[in-house]
Amino acid sequence: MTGRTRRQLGNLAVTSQAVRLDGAPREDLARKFSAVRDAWRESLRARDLDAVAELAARFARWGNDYEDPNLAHWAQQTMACVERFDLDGLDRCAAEIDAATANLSAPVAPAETPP
Amino acid sequence: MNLAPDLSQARILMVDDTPQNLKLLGLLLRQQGYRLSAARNGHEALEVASAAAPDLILLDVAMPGLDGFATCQRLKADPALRDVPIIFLTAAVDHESVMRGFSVGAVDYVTKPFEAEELLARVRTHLELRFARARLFDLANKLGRYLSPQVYASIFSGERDVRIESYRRDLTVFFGDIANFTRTAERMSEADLTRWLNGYLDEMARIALRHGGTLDKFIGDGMMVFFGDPTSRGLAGDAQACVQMALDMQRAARRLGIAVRMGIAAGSCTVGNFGCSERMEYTIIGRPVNLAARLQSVAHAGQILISETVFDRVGGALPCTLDGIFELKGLEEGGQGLVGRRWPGRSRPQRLGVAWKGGRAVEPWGAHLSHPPR
Repeated sequence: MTGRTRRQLGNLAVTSQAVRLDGAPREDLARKFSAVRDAWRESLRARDLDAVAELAARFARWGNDYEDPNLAHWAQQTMACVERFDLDGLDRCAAEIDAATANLSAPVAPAETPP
Repeated sequence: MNLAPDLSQARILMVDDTPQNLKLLGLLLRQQGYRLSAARNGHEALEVASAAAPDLILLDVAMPGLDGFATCQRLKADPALRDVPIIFLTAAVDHESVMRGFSVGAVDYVTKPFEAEELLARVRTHLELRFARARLFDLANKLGRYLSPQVYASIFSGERDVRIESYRRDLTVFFGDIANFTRTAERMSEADLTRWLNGYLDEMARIALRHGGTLDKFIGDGMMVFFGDPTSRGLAGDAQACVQMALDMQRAARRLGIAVRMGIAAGSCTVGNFGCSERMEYTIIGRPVNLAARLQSVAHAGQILISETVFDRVGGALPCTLDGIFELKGLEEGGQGLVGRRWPGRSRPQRLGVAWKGGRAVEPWGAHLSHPPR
Protein backbone atom coordinates (compact mmCIF):
# COMPACT_ATOMS: atom_id res chain seq x y z
CA MET A 1 0.00 0.00 0.00
CA THR A 2 1.47 3.34 -0.97
CA GLY A 3 1.43 6.35 1.28
CA ARG A 4 -1.02 8.07 -1.02
CA THR A 5 -3.46 5.16 -0.99
CA ARG A 6 -3.14 4.99 2.74
CA ARG A 7 -3.92 8.69 2.97
CA GLN A 8 -6.92 8.25 0.67
CA LEU A 9 -8.24 5.57 2.99
CA GLY A 10 -7.74 8.07 5.75
CA ASN A 11 -9.41 7.16 8.98
CA LEU A 12 -10.83 3.94 7.67
CA ALA A 13 -7.41 2.35 8.01
CA VAL A 14 -6.81 -0.64 10.21
CA THR A 15 -7.25 -0.40 13.95
CA SER A 16 -3.52 -0.21 14.58
CA GLN A 17 -3.59 3.12 12.73
CA ALA A 18 -6.06 4.53 15.21
CA VAL A 19 -3.53 7.16 16.09
CA ARG A 20 -4.05 8.56 12.57
CA LEU A 21 -7.77 9.02 13.03
CA ASP A 22 -7.59 12.73 13.74
CA GLY A 23 -5.15 13.31 10.91
CA ALA A 24 -2.54 14.66 13.30
CA PRO A 25 0.40 12.53 12.10
CA ARG A 26 0.05 13.92 8.59
CA GLU A 27 -0.09 17.44 9.98
CA ASP A 28 2.93 16.68 12.11
CA LEU A 29 4.84 15.47 9.07
CA ALA A 30 3.81 18.57 7.13
CA ARG A 31 4.97 20.78 10.00
CA LYS A 32 8.28 18.97 10.30
CA PHE A 33 8.95 19.02 6.59
CA SER A 34 8.01 22.67 6.34
CA ALA A 35 10.55 23.44 9.06
CA VAL A 36 13.42 21.94 7.05
CA ARG A 37 12.19 22.73 3.54
CA ASP A 38 14.53 25.72 3.11
CA ALA A 39 17.53 23.79 4.37
CA TRP A 40 16.68 20.93 2.01
CA ARG A 41 16.45 23.23 -1.01
CA GLU A 42 19.60 25.08 -0.03
CA SER A 43 21.52 21.84 0.38
CA LEU A 44 20.43 20.78 -3.12
CA ARG A 45 21.31 24.16 -4.60
CA ALA A 46 24.78 23.95 -3.06
CA ARG A 47 25.02 20.27 -3.98
CA ASP A 48 26.10 19.88 -0.38
CA LEU A 49 26.25 16.10 -0.38
CA ASP A 50 26.70 15.75 3.38
CA ALA A 51 23.75 17.98 4.15
CA VAL A 52 21.62 16.26 1.49
CA ALA A 53 22.44 12.87 3.02
CA GLU A 54 21.68 14.07 6.55
CA LEU A 55 18.32 15.49 5.54
CA ALA A 56 17.47 12.45 3.45
CA ALA A 57 18.16 10.23 6.45
CA ARG A 58 15.75 12.36 8.44
CA PHE A 59 13.10 12.09 5.71
CA ALA A 60 13.54 8.32 5.62
CA ARG A 61 12.90 8.20 9.37
CA TRP A 62 9.83 10.37 9.05
CA GLY A 63 8.59 8.29 6.12
CA ASN A 64 8.74 5.25 8.38
CA ASP A 65 7.35 6.98 11.46
CA TYR A 66 4.39 8.45 9.61
CA GLU A 67 3.90 5.45 7.33
CA ASP A 68 4.64 7.29 4.13
CA PRO A 69 6.62 4.61 2.25
CA ASN A 70 6.87 6.83 -0.80
CA LEU A 71 8.83 9.44 1.11
CA ALA A 72 10.86 6.77 2.90
CA HIS A 73 11.73 5.06 -0.39
CA TRP A 74 12.92 8.19 -2.19
CA ALA A 75 14.78 9.40 0.84
CA GLN A 76 16.68 6.11 0.93
CA GLN A 77 17.35 6.36 -2.79
CA THR A 78 18.70 9.87 -2.23
CA MET A 79 21.14 8.59 0.37
CA ALA A 80 22.26 5.87 -2.03
CA CYS A 81 22.85 8.45 -4.79
CA VAL A 82 24.96 10.56 -2.43
CA GLU A 83 26.97 7.48 -1.53
CA ARG A 84 27.66 6.85 -5.24
CA PHE A 85 28.16 10.55 -6.12
CA ASP A 86 25.40 10.03 -8.66
CA LEU A 87 24.19 13.57 -9.40
CA ASP A 88 21.71 12.55 -12.11
CA GLY A 89 20.13 10.08 -9.72
CA LEU A 90 20.13 12.72 -7.00
CA ASP A 91 18.16 15.09 -9.24
CA ARG A 92 15.53 12.40 -9.87
CA CYS A 93 15.23 11.56 -6.19
CA ALA A 94 14.92 15.22 -5.24
CA ALA A 95 12.09 15.63 -7.74
CA GLU A 96 10.32 12.59 -6.28
CA ILE A 97 10.72 13.88 -2.74
CA ASP A 98 9.36 17.23 -3.83
CA ALA A 99 6.35 15.46 -5.34
CA ALA A 100 5.89 13.24 -2.30
CA THR A 101 5.91 16.22 0.03
CA ALA A 102 4.15 18.74 -2.21
CA ASN A 103 0.71 18.07 -0.76
CA LEU A 104 1.87 17.89 2.83
CA SER A 105 1.12 21.54 3.35
CA ALA A 106 -2.40 21.15 1.89
CA PRO A 107 -5.20 21.25 4.46
CA VAL A 108 -6.02 17.88 5.93
CA ALA A 109 -9.51 16.61 5.23
CA PRO A 110 -11.76 16.30 8.30
CA ALA A 111 -11.68 12.87 9.86
CA GLU A 112 -14.51 10.52 9.01
CA THR A 113 -16.18 8.75 11.87
CA PRO A 114 -15.86 4.98 11.51
CA PRO A 115 -19.16 3.11 11.48
CA MET B 1 50.45 31.56 18.55
CA ASN B 2 48.78 28.62 16.84
CA LEU B 3 48.10 29.28 13.19
CA ALA B 4 47.63 25.62 12.24
CA PRO B 5 44.32 25.47 10.39
CA ASP B 6 41.56 23.01 11.15
CA LEU B 7 40.75 21.36 7.85
CA SER B 8 37.98 19.14 9.19
CA GLN B 9 35.27 21.52 8.02
CA ALA B 10 36.87 22.31 4.66
CA ARG B 11 34.43 22.18 1.78
CA ILE B 12 35.64 21.05 -1.62
CA LEU B 13 33.69 21.46 -4.84
CA MET B 14 34.42 18.77 -7.44
CA VAL B 15 33.57 19.56 -11.05
CA ASP B 16 33.68 16.82 -13.67
CA ASP B 17 31.33 15.72 -16.44
CA THR B 18 32.32 12.06 -16.09
CA PRO B 19 30.36 10.31 -13.31
CA GLN B 20 33.13 7.74 -12.74
CA ASN B 21 35.70 10.48 -12.19
CA LEU B 22 33.39 12.26 -9.78
CA LYS B 23 32.85 9.05 -7.85
CA LEU B 24 36.56 8.19 -7.70
CA LEU B 25 37.47 11.66 -6.55
CA GLY B 26 34.55 11.84 -4.13
CA LEU B 27 35.46 8.56 -2.42
CA LEU B 28 39.07 9.65 -2.09
CA LEU B 29 38.20 13.02 -0.55
CA ARG B 30 35.43 11.65 1.66
CA GLN B 31 37.96 9.36 3.31
CA GLN B 32 39.86 12.46 4.38
CA GLY B 33 36.76 13.87 6.07
CA TYR B 34 36.23 16.82 3.74
CA ARG B 35 32.74 18.15 3.14
CA LEU B 36 31.88 17.77 -0.53
CA SER B 37 29.85 19.51 -3.19
CA ALA B 38 29.74 18.38 -6.78
CA ALA B 39 28.87 19.72 -10.23
CA ARG B 40 28.73 18.12 -13.69
CA ASN B 41 29.64 21.07 -15.90
CA GLY B 42 30.86 24.64 -15.90
CA HIS B 43 27.49 26.37 -15.61
CA GLU B 44 26.43 24.11 -12.78
CA ALA B 45 29.80 24.73 -11.10
CA LEU B 46 29.16 28.49 -11.09
CA GLU B 47 25.75 28.05 -9.48
CA VAL B 48 26.93 25.52 -6.94
CA ALA B 49 30.04 27.54 -6.07
CA SER B 50 28.05 30.65 -5.25
CA ALA B 51 25.64 28.63 -3.09
CA ALA B 52 28.20 26.37 -1.43
CA ALA B 53 31.07 28.87 -0.84
CA PRO B 54 33.72 26.15 -1.16
CA ASP B 55 37.21 26.39 0.28
CA LEU B 56 38.75 24.76 -2.77
CA ILE B 57 37.61 23.73 -6.25
CA LEU B 58 38.85 20.75 -8.22
CA LEU B 59 38.01 21.56 -11.81
CA ASP B 60 38.03 19.45 -14.94
CA VAL B 61 39.02 21.23 -18.18
CA ALA B 62 37.28 19.37 -21.02
CA MET B 63 33.57 19.70 -20.34
CA PRO B 64 30.63 20.35 -22.67
CA GLY B 65 29.41 23.94 -22.78
CA LEU B 66 31.53 26.08 -20.53
CA ASP B 67 34.97 24.46 -20.33
CA GLY B 68 37.20 24.49 -17.23
CA PHE B 69 39.27 27.51 -18.32
CA ALA B 70 36.22 29.66 -18.98
CA THR B 71 34.64 28.46 -15.73
CA CYS B 72 37.81 29.39 -13.85
CA GLN B 73 37.80 32.86 -15.39
CA ARG B 74 34.16 33.40 -14.39
CA LEU B 75 34.84 32.22 -10.84
CA LYS B 76 37.81 34.57 -10.56
CA ALA B 77 35.66 37.46 -11.75
CA ASP B 78 33.25 36.93 -8.85
CA PRO B 79 34.41 38.98 -5.83
CA ALA B 80 32.92 36.43 -3.45
CA LEU B 81 34.82 33.55 -5.04
CA ARG B 82 38.01 35.04 -6.44
CA ASP B 83 40.10 33.94 -3.48
CA VAL B 84 38.97 30.32 -3.62
CA PRO B 85 41.93 28.23 -4.80
CA ILE B 86 41.24 26.26 -7.97
CA ILE B 87 43.17 23.15 -8.95
CA PHE B 88 42.76 21.89 -12.48
CA LEU B 89 42.41 18.14 -12.67
CA THR B 90 42.58 17.17 -16.31
CA ALA B 91 43.85 14.82 -18.97
CA ALA B 92 45.24 17.76 -20.96
CA VAL B 93 48.97 17.42 -20.38
CA ASP B 94 50.40 19.72 -23.06
CA HIS B 95 52.48 22.67 -21.95
CA GLU B 96 50.11 25.19 -23.50
CA SER B 97 47.14 23.91 -21.50
CA VAL B 98 49.15 23.87 -18.28
CA MET B 99 50.25 27.47 -18.80
CA ARG B 100 46.72 28.53 -19.75
CA GLY B 101 45.45 26.94 -16.55
CA PHE B 102 47.78 29.07 -14.45
CA SER B 103 47.11 32.17 -16.52
CA VAL B 104 43.36 32.01 -15.83
CA GLY B 105 44.04 31.90 -12.10
CA ALA B 106 44.48 28.28 -11.01
CA VAL B 107 46.84 27.65 -8.10
CA ASP B 108 47.77 24.19 -9.32
CA TYR B 109 47.44 21.84 -12.27
CA VAL B 110 47.24 18.06 -11.82
CA THR B 111 47.09 15.71 -14.77
CA LYS B 112 45.06 12.50 -15.03
CA PRO B 113 45.68 9.77 -14.21
CA PHE B 114 46.77 11.19 -10.88
CA GLU B 115 48.50 9.71 -7.86
CA ALA B 116 46.00 9.79 -5.00
CA GLU B 117 48.58 10.68 -2.38
CA GLU B 118 50.02 13.45 -4.48
CA LEU B 119 46.61 14.95 -5.19
CA LEU B 120 45.66 14.80 -1.51
CA ALA B 121 48.95 16.47 -0.56
CA ARG B 122 48.31 19.30 -3.02
CA VAL B 123 44.73 19.69 -1.82
CA ARG B 124 45.89 19.82 1.78
CA THR B 125 48.62 22.35 1.03
CA HIS B 126 46.28 24.72 -0.76
CA LEU B 127 43.62 24.40 1.92
CA GLU B 128 46.21 25.13 4.61
CA LEU B 129 47.37 28.19 2.68
CA ARG B 130 43.81 29.41 2.27
CA PHE B 131 42.97 28.95 5.94
CA ALA B 132 46.26 30.47 7.09
CA ARG B 133 45.60 33.47 4.89
CA ALA B 134 42.06 33.81 6.19
CA ARG B 135 43.33 33.53 9.78
CA LEU B 136 45.97 36.18 9.21
CA PHE B 137 43.39 38.42 7.60
CA ASP B 138 41.10 37.94 10.57
CA LEU B 139 43.92 38.67 13.03
CA ALA B 140 44.96 41.73 11.06
CA ASN B 141 41.38 42.98 11.19
CA LYS B 142 41.24 42.46 14.94
CA LEU B 143 44.58 44.13 15.51
CA GLY B 144 43.54 46.87 13.12
CA ARG B 145 40.92 47.98 15.63
CA TYR B 146 43.77 49.16 17.82
CA LEU B 147 45.07 51.39 15.04
CA SER B 148 43.72 54.39 13.25
CA PRO B 149 41.96 53.11 10.11
CA GLN B 150 44.12 55.37 7.94
CA VAL B 151 47.32 54.08 9.53
CA TYR B 152 46.09 50.50 9.25
CA ALA B 153 45.27 50.99 5.57
CA SER B 154 48.60 52.62 4.79
CA ILE B 155 50.56 49.87 6.56
CA PHE B 156 48.64 47.08 4.86
CA SER B 157 48.82 48.66 1.44
CA GLY B 158 52.58 48.89 1.85
CA GLU B 159 52.63 52.70 1.67
CA ARG B 160 53.98 52.94 5.20
CA ASP B 161 56.54 50.78 6.94
CA VAL B 162 56.48 50.08 10.66
CA ARG B 163 59.70 51.62 11.89
CA ILE B 164 60.72 54.41 14.21
CA GLU B 165 60.57 57.58 12.17
CA SER B 166 59.10 61.02 12.38
CA TYR B 167 58.43 64.07 10.26
CA ARG B 168 56.89 67.53 10.57
CA ARG B 169 53.38 68.28 9.37
CA ASP B 170 51.02 71.19 9.75
CA LEU B 171 47.97 69.60 11.36
CA THR B 172 44.62 70.47 12.88
CA VAL B 173 44.25 68.68 16.20
CA PHE B 174 41.02 67.87 18.01
CA PHE B 175 40.42 66.80 21.61
CA GLY B 176 37.02 65.93 23.03
CA ASP B 177 35.80 64.44 26.29
CA ILE B 178 32.56 63.94 28.16
CA ALA B 179 31.69 66.54 30.77
CA ASN B 180 31.12 65.10 34.27
CA PHE B 181 32.08 61.67 33.08
CA THR B 182 33.40 60.42 36.42
CA ARG B 183 30.20 61.32 38.23
CA THR B 184 28.07 59.71 35.52
CA ALA B 185 30.25 56.59 35.45
CA GLU B 186 29.99 56.09 39.20
CA ARG B 187 26.22 55.78 38.93
CA MET B 188 26.39 53.00 36.33
CA SER B 189 27.08 49.29 36.47
CA GLU B 190 30.20 48.13 34.62
CA ALA B 191 28.14 46.58 31.84
CA ASP B 192 25.96 49.67 31.39
CA LEU B 193 28.99 51.94 31.46
CA THR B 194 30.80 49.87 28.82
CA ARG B 195 27.75 49.82 26.56
CA TRP B 196 27.06 53.53 27.02
CA LEU B 197 30.66 54.64 26.53
CA ASN B 198 31.31 52.38 23.55
CA GLY B 199 28.07 53.54 21.93
CA TYR B 200 29.17 57.15 22.31
CA LEU B 201 32.76 56.52 21.12
CA ASP B 202 31.51 54.44 18.21
CA GLU B 203 29.28 57.30 17.06
CA MET B 204 32.08 59.85 17.49
CA ALA B 205 34.57 57.66 15.62
CA ARG B 206 32.12 57.23 12.76
CA ILE B 207 31.75 60.98 12.45
CA ALA B 208 35.53 61.48 12.61
CA LEU B 209 36.11 58.97 9.84
CA ARG B 210 33.33 60.43 7.75
CA HIS B 211 35.11 63.77 7.83
CA GLY B 212 38.46 62.18 7.01
CA GLY B 213 40.02 62.58 10.45
CA THR B 214 42.81 60.33 11.67
CA LEU B 215 41.66 58.74 14.91
CA ASP B 216 44.77 58.99 17.05
CA LYS B 217 43.61 57.51 20.32
CA PHE B 218 40.87 57.05 22.87
CA ILE B 219 41.82 58.21 26.34
CA GLY B 220 39.12 56.87 28.66
CA ASP B 221 36.07 58.89 27.67
CA GLY B 222 38.19 61.26 25.61
CA MET B 223 39.42 61.07 22.07
CA MET B 224 42.08 62.69 19.95
CA VAL B 225 41.68 63.17 16.21
CA PHE B 226 43.84 65.06 13.78
CA PHE B 227 43.61 66.21 10.18
CA GLY B 228 46.48 66.59 7.71
CA ASP B 229 48.20 63.21 7.84
CA PRO B 230 48.40 60.68 6.17
CA THR B 231 46.23 62.70 3.79
CA SER B 232 45.58 66.43 3.68
CA ARG B 233 43.08 68.73 2.03
CA GLY B 234 45.32 71.73 2.58
CA LEU B 235 45.57 73.84 5.74
CA ALA B 236 42.19 75.51 5.33
CA GLY B 237 40.50 72.31 4.17
CA ASP B 238 41.82 70.35 7.14
CA ALA B 239 40.74 73.02 9.62
CA GLN B 240 37.29 73.33 8.09
CA ALA B 241 36.81 69.55 8.07
CA CYS B 242 37.88 69.35 11.70
CA VAL B 243 35.53 72.12 12.88
CA GLN B 244 32.67 70.67 10.86
CA MET B 245 33.39 67.28 12.44
CA ALA B 246 33.29 68.83 15.91
CA LEU B 247 29.95 70.51 15.16
CA ASP B 248 28.50 67.21 13.92
CA MET B 249 29.85 65.47 17.00
CA GLN B 250 28.17 67.99 19.27
CA ARG B 251 24.87 67.44 17.51
CA ALA B 252 25.24 63.65 17.80
CA ALA B 253 26.28 63.89 21.46
CA ARG B 254 23.24 66.03 22.24
CA ARG B 255 21.03 63.38 20.65
CA LEU B 256 22.64 60.84 22.96
CA GLY B 257 22.05 63.13 25.92
CA ILE B 258 25.78 63.62 26.46
CA ALA B 259 27.56 66.94 26.95
CA VAL B 260 31.04 67.05 25.45
CA ARG B 261 33.87 69.57 25.80
CA MET B 262 35.96 70.08 22.68
CA GLY B 263 39.15 71.89 21.75
CA ILE B 264 40.77 72.40 18.38
CA ALA B 265 44.19 73.85 17.56
CA ALA B 266 46.40 73.88 14.48
CA GLY B 267 50.06 74.24 13.63
CA SER B 268 53.25 72.38 13.08
CA CYS B 269 53.46 68.98 14.78
CA THR B 270 55.86 66.07 14.76
CA VAL B 271 54.15 63.00 13.36
CA GLY B 272 55.72 59.62 13.82
CA ASN B 273 56.08 56.27 15.42
CA PHE B 274 57.14 56.87 18.98
CA GLY B 275 58.18 54.15 21.36
CA CYS B 276 60.57 51.24 21.10
CA SER B 277 61.05 48.63 18.41
CA GLU B 278 58.71 46.20 20.25
CA ARG B 279 55.92 48.64 20.97
CA MET B 280 55.30 51.69 18.87
CA GLU B 281 52.56 54.23 18.73
CA TYR B 282 51.78 56.30 15.70
CA THR B 283 50.89 59.68 17.14
CA ILE B 284 51.68 63.37 17.08
CA ILE B 285 53.45 65.70 19.48
CA GLY B 286 53.85 69.43 19.52
CA ARG B 287 52.47 72.74 20.76
CA PRO B 288 49.11 72.46 18.90
CA VAL B 289 48.46 69.15 20.64
CA ASN B 290 48.97 70.75 24.05
CA LEU B 291 46.88 73.75 23.08
CA ALA B 292 43.98 71.64 21.78
CA ALA B 293 44.02 69.60 24.99
CA ARG B 294 44.07 72.79 27.06
CA LEU B 295 41.21 74.33 25.09
CA GLN B 296 39.18 71.21 25.57
CA SER B 297 39.87 71.17 29.29
CA VAL B 298 38.57 74.72 29.79
CA ALA B 299 35.60 74.50 27.43
CA HIS B 300 32.09 74.37 28.83
CA ALA B 301 30.00 71.26 28.42
CA GLY B 302 28.72 71.34 24.86
CA GLN B 303 31.24 74.00 23.79
CA ILE B 304 33.89 73.89 21.08
CA LEU B 305 36.90 76.12 21.58
CA ILE B 306 39.20 76.68 18.63
CA SER B 307 42.58 78.38 18.47
CA GLU B 308 43.18 81.59 16.62
CA THR B 309 45.05 79.70 13.88
CA VAL B 310 42.07 77.45 13.31
CA PHE B 311 39.80 80.48 13.35
CA ASP B 312 41.89 82.12 10.65
CA ARG B 313 42.00 78.99 8.52
CA VAL B 314 38.30 78.31 8.78
CA GLY B 315 37.58 81.89 7.72
CA GLY B 316 33.99 82.37 6.68
CA ALA B 317 33.63 78.84 5.42
CA LEU B 318 31.37 77.71 8.24
CA PRO B 319 27.91 79.13 8.90
CA CYS B 320 28.58 80.58 12.31
CA THR B 321 29.12 84.00 13.76
CA LEU B 322 31.25 85.27 16.57
CA ASP B 323 29.60 84.91 19.95
CA GLY B 324 32.07 86.23 22.44
CA ILE B 325 35.62 86.84 23.48
CA PHE B 326 37.28 86.19 26.80
CA GLU B 327 40.63 85.79 28.40
CA LEU B 328 42.21 82.39 28.75
CA LYS B 329 45.03 82.35 31.25
CA GLY B 330 47.67 79.76 31.81
CA LEU B 331 48.34 78.84 28.22
CA GLU B 332 51.94 78.42 27.25
CA GLU B 333 51.66 80.96 24.50
CA GLY B 334 50.23 83.51 26.92
CA GLY B 335 48.12 86.53 26.19
CA GLN B 336 45.39 84.51 24.55
CA GLY B 337 41.70 84.93 24.64
CA LEU B 338 38.67 82.98 23.60
CA VAL B 339 35.89 83.87 21.32
CA GLY B 340 32.55 82.15 21.07
CA ARG B 341 30.57 82.06 17.87
CA ARG B 342 26.85 81.73 17.36
CA TRP B 343 25.01 79.69 14.76
CA PRO B 344 22.59 81.89 12.83
CA GLY B 345 18.94 80.98 13.12
CA ARG B 346 19.37 78.96 16.31
CA SER B 347 17.58 79.83 19.49
CA ARG B 348 20.46 78.52 21.59
CA PRO B 349 23.96 79.53 20.65
CA GLN B 350 26.29 76.90 19.25
CA ARG B 351 29.24 77.57 21.46
CA LEU B 352 32.22 77.75 19.22
CA GLY B 353 35.12 79.57 20.81
CA VAL B 354 38.35 80.93 19.39
CA ALA B 355 41.61 81.35 21.24
CA TRP B 356 43.55 84.34 20.04
CA LYS B 357 46.76 86.06 20.80
CA GLY B 358 46.58 89.54 22.26
CA GLY B 359 46.65 92.29 19.72
CA ARG B 360 44.82 90.41 16.97
CA ALA B 361 41.62 92.11 15.93
CA VAL B 362 38.43 90.09 15.87
CA GLU B 363 35.99 93.01 15.53
CA PRO B 364 34.60 91.90 12.16
CA TRP B 365 32.65 89.30 14.09
CA GLY B 366 31.58 91.64 16.87
CA ALA B 367 33.45 90.20 19.79
CA HIS B 368 31.95 90.26 23.22
CA LEU B 369 32.36 88.21 26.33
CA SER B 370 29.56 85.73 26.65
CA HIS B 371 30.90 82.33 27.62
CA PRO B 372 34.00 82.79 29.73
CA PRO B 373 36.11 79.70 30.12
CA ARG B 374 36.04 77.80 33.34
